[in-house]
Amino acid sequence: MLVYVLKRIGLALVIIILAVTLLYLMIHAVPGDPATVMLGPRATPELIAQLHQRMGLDKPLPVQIISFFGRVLSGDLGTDVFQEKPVAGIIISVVPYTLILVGAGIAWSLALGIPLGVFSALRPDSWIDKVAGILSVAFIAMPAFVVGLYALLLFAVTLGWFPVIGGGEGFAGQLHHLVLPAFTVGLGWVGYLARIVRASMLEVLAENHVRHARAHGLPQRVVHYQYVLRIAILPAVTIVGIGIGAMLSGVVFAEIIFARPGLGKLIFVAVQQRNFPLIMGTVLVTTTLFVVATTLSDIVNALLDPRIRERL
Amino acid sequence: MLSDPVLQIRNLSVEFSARKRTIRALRNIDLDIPRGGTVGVVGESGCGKSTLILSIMRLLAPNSKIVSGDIVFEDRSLFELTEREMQSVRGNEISMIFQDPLTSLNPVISVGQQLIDVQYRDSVAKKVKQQRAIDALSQVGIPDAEARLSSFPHQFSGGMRQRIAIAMTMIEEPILLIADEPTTALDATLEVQIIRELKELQKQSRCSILFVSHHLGVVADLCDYVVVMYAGEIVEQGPVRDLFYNVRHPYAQKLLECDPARIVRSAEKKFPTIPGDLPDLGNLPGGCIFSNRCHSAFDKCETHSPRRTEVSTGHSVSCHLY
Amino acid sequence: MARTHKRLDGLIEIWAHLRREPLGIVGLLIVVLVIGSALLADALILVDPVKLSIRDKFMPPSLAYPLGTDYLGRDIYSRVIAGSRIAMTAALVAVSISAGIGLVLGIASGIGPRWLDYSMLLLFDTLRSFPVVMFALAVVTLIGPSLTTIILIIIVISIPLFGRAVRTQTLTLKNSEFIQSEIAMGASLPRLMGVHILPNVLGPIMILAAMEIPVVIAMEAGLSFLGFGVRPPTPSWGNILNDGFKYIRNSPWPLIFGGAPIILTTLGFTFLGESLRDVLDPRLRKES
Ligand SMILES: Nc1ncnc2c1ncn2[C@@H]1O[C@H](COP(=O)(O)OP(=O)(O)OP(=O)(O)O)[C@@H](O)[C@H]1O
Ligand SMILES: [Mg+2]
Repeated sequence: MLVYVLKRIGLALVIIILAVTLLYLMIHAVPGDPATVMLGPRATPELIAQLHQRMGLDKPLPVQIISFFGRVLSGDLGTDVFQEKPVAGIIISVVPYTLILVGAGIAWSLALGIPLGVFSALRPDSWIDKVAGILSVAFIAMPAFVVGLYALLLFAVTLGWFPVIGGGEGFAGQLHHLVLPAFTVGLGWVGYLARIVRASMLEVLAENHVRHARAHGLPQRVVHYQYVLRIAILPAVTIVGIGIGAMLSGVVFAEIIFARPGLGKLIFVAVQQRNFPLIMGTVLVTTTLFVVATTLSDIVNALLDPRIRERL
Repeated sequence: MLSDPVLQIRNLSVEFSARKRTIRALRNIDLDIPRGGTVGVVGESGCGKSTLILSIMRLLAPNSKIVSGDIVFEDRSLFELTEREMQSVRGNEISMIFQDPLTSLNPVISVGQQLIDVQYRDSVAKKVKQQRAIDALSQVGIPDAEARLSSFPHQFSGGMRQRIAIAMTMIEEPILLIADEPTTALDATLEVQIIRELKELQKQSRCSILFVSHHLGVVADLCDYVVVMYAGEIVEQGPVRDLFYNVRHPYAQKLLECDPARIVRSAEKKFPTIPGDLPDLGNLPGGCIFSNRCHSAFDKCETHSPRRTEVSTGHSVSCHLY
Repeated sequence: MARTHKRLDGLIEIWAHLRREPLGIVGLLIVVLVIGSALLADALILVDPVKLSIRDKFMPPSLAYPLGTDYLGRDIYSRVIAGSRIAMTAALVAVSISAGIGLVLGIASGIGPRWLDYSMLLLFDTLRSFPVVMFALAVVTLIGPSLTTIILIIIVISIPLFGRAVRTQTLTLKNSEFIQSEIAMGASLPRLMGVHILPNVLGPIMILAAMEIPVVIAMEAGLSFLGFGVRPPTPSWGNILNDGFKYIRNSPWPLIFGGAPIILTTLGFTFLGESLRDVLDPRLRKES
């Protein structure tokens, strides 16, 4: 088991290193270089050289990459040349907003998706099941940002039930500001979770041990919600890790549409400014969070299933 | 028939609908299980043994339909009980051991918990239930039972898993125990042990047993009454000695002839083969269902179904020869 | 001759199954509608989609402007129709190129030596570990926003999807008795690939492609909405939404009618893809 956990963490590290290197290389592979791109039309040879030096771009590429990793490990993501502030600090100040949004999105999609999947699986091919199935596919397919825009238009602008912009003050205020963005990032995952739970629930319901449990007179409630759900829920755990990762990327839209602070808003502004250190830093942080989330869900999944736990 | 039966099956017919076809899996089954007696059901694969058992438990697949008949258990018609009432019969008054021990326990719940869960009706302390689980496990010969309560099914061998299933039924102290080929998936030495456990269990609790098997030797050993099934019908039934020494129905004769246990008690557990195939249950021919494979069939067999005839006390056969 | 016959039979069979799936039919209708409007865009538009008429700005739907006008008085209906061409171009080009690359990498990974397989898997995992939108934004910053950039981004992030599916399929085939015996008899690898593996992976690839198209459409629209996609004033659906978002308090129509085709199209392709998958390859159902 320990070996598996270590292996999984090792793989995660390799992937993060590869991803960051790839990104770094990409930035340098493009014609022109970050300094020129950043400076735009103002670029003069002196200014470019100056910026090169400040960003460490005058050294050979491998040295740059290694020193970049060295700095990252010591918590230094470089300096934002526009605001003259450390990138790490800027990112850390907005991370909580994004994490709260992702957490809220996952929470409500779990809270609705799992019961929906269980409900459908217990009434296969009923009209409720069919409607839930179509809705699930629709939720998955519809782009979240269009859903977000419609929600903004209907609930905030037209009906005025929810605030249009900002992160909110105080607990109640923050919660109020969270509703529509969380709805936006979570909707697709309601569909995913409902489908996965339904499918795995149906699969487990057909297994022999279910009939065995019923033959021993266990109440329906116990059979369904303890004996079956405990197995059927496992694939959902894996998907939650992926869901968190995908939401980290989905938040860009939610944060812009609802004018909420966070990593998405940050990178949006950074891209408009062509602020490379900030872009690199944000991508690095989100990629790391993504990989950590999927790795954790894999490990949790292994821990939950005694059959896998044993084999590892 | 013997008086005071625990369970009476009267004229039971069951159908499955599968892909627009109606599979007539059971037809006009009549069977009594005497109190404290052991009834063995034999017949080749697909003849409806599991269907019969699952109709008693009311656990048939959703595509099934009880076409006719009734099952009376302790003076109550099982088909008239509500699902809730049926639930309190299952695992309490009627308990069951399944065909495949490898898949009949829940893989993610510890064995101890599953043994405790079947006692949910008892309002005794959890400690007591746990002790019962330990006792039952030791009784079926699981060493170090207390320590193994927290183990999961996959950590046990197939034979041990089947014994855990038996331990479950022991805890439940049923009036009727149904065992659906409990030893088919196990190897021969284990089979002997499992049969011994069952005998022990019966001696202790004096329950009645309905025992399904491919293996005639085992049936002869364990049962006092035998039922031979063919293609969804009972073709012959009678007390074990009577039936084994005075077998009447041509199918039952074939069955006895090619039972490996009669020739050599071999470890091989393949079912005896009789030339020809089972009739298609979705499209049954007229006349006697065995006529196409019967060596002594005559004209009448092709056109008329035989009636059930009593040949001696408690021994009846459905064949035009008698 | 026999070959065309076979193909026709296949199509007829698919249709026979599809007919029984109402959702698949709805999907098919939408897909036909969208592809049709992309092909016939020039004939279908009422006015030049970039033509301004400031006097008519923020008009609600009317006879002259069936879907209303935006903040510059441009006809939203014509812009939506013209936008379908951009969306379909991006989707088809990106999906076919990434499916092609995924096909090659997947087969190489499946039949190649161990180290190659491992490095491919690692590459797929790495490409998938970027949060898509963040990655896209970084790329846009580097090479500038354009339709080509979007297509490029989509290609890169979709490769793992196709690559993994093809790899699995190839591995299964490679281990099949029948291919093993061909190898034992000295069949060459290119022959095996061309004759046996390629035709067998094409079906799953088509289904995956149909399922990936909505993702691509959403991506194109999303990036354009953020202002990092197709350059305005080109009428992409995302650009219509971007304009609508800026003037959300002036008129809801650009938002409503800019979003509707995106939702319709993604739903259409998804419903069609789902039904096709159920018809063509029930095995695939479990994998995704
Ligand atoms: N759910 C079902 N749907 C359709 N047909 C079924 C179903 N269950 C059983 N059958 C059919 O009913 C017949 C009897 O099956 P059953 O399982 O009772 O046989 P069996 O005697 O227990 O066989 P075995 O010795 O292999 O366990 C078989 O032909 C089987 O195919
Ligand atoms: Mg059976």
